[in-house]
Amino acid sequence: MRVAVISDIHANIEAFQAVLCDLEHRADQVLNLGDLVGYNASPNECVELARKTGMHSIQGNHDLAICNPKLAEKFNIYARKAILWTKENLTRENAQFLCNLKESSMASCGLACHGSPEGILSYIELHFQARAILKKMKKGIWGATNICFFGHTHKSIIWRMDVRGKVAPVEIPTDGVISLSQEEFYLLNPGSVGQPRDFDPRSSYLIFDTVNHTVSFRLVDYDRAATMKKIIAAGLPELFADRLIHGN
Amino acid sequence: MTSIHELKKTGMLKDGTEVVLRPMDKTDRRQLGDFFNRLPPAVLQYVRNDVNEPQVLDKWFAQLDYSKVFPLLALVDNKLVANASLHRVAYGWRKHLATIRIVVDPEFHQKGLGTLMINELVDLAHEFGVEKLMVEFPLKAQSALFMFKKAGFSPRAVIEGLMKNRHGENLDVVIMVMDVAAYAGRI
Repeated sequence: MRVAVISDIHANIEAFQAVLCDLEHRADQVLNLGDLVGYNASPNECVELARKTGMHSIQGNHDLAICNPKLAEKFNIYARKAILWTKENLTRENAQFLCNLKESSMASCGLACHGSPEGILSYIELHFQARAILKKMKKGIWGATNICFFGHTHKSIIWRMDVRGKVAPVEIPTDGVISLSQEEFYLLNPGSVGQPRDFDPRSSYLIFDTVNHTVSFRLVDYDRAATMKKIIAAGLPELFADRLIHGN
Repeated sequence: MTSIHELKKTGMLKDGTEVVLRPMDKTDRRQLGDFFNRLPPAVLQYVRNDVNEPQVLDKWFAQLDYSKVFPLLALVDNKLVANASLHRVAYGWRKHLATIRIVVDPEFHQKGLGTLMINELVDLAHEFGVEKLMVEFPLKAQSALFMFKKAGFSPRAVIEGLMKNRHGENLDVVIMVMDVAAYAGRI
């Protein structure tokens, strides 16, 4: 089975549609690692599309902030502004859908979480953070799996713990396929659909082949100008539109 | 387009005082001048510019560019009580790095205001894609050392006699650094 793993759509319907179109004949299932809303201007469209497709979704911190006002207050002033705008514009049904999502789950292809298995707000961005999580995975704290999918950073990466316990990022070949070993432990981040931050403005996602144990990353272009126009028209901060140009 | 005044949040100091944090904009010129003018010379001696000179502030406001310097104000009952800023470089080997500068009204020292502002700047730095933050100040400013340590910075170097105070005496300078991703999003 081929599972498309997507994350951090962030109310960018143009990017979301482009990615769904790209994965249509490449994957049998879709796993969404959270943050359907926040930052961009099409929250209802994105939630409705996720609901319509019936993809397996888990909750991100921006999704959680919709139902937890105290959390929204802890966001930085830009992210907070976006959440307040989203809350005002989201339908009750769509808000309820986000609130009902689970924080993490053991999917058929591995452990799925937004920030890290330790929490929705945690980041796996630095070496020590990846090593701490991989060590716990090896101990089986979150169940018997050697694979964990995470998002939140908006940067595609694979962290690997080899049989000696050494942790390092795996080099991702352009349009290449990476084979995973059953003896090693992995943290896989597909990057972001709606707001990439790894200096490539294209939407990023990955496809995991559960039979061959391989991973391939996909980069998809979309109509950025349309998304940017909507952000400005909605009265959201210009920063959110500008960052889509450069992917940071 | 979002007005810069819509980008704000409230926080609580240790003594229960409510404080509003928001970016500085062009309408804050007079308020910032009044803030610096009421601070004693001892507080301003380590500031990089002569902030009591009106032309200095005029230039800041004329050149306001949030992609280079992000100025954050703290207000209590609409009165400016602290000014902190995140300084970025758009190009080159320091592109991933930003520096923080902060001035707090002595009336609000030891109340957690500095930490509140630094935490907000750390989260904003993460939002802006900054990887590392750096700050430098006189080693003898122990309260600043404690405040930055609390925010996640660690001292990486002390350079003896590098700076001079307003009396011409040599000062040891401490350089503190933090990895933004290690602390961003902590709640």
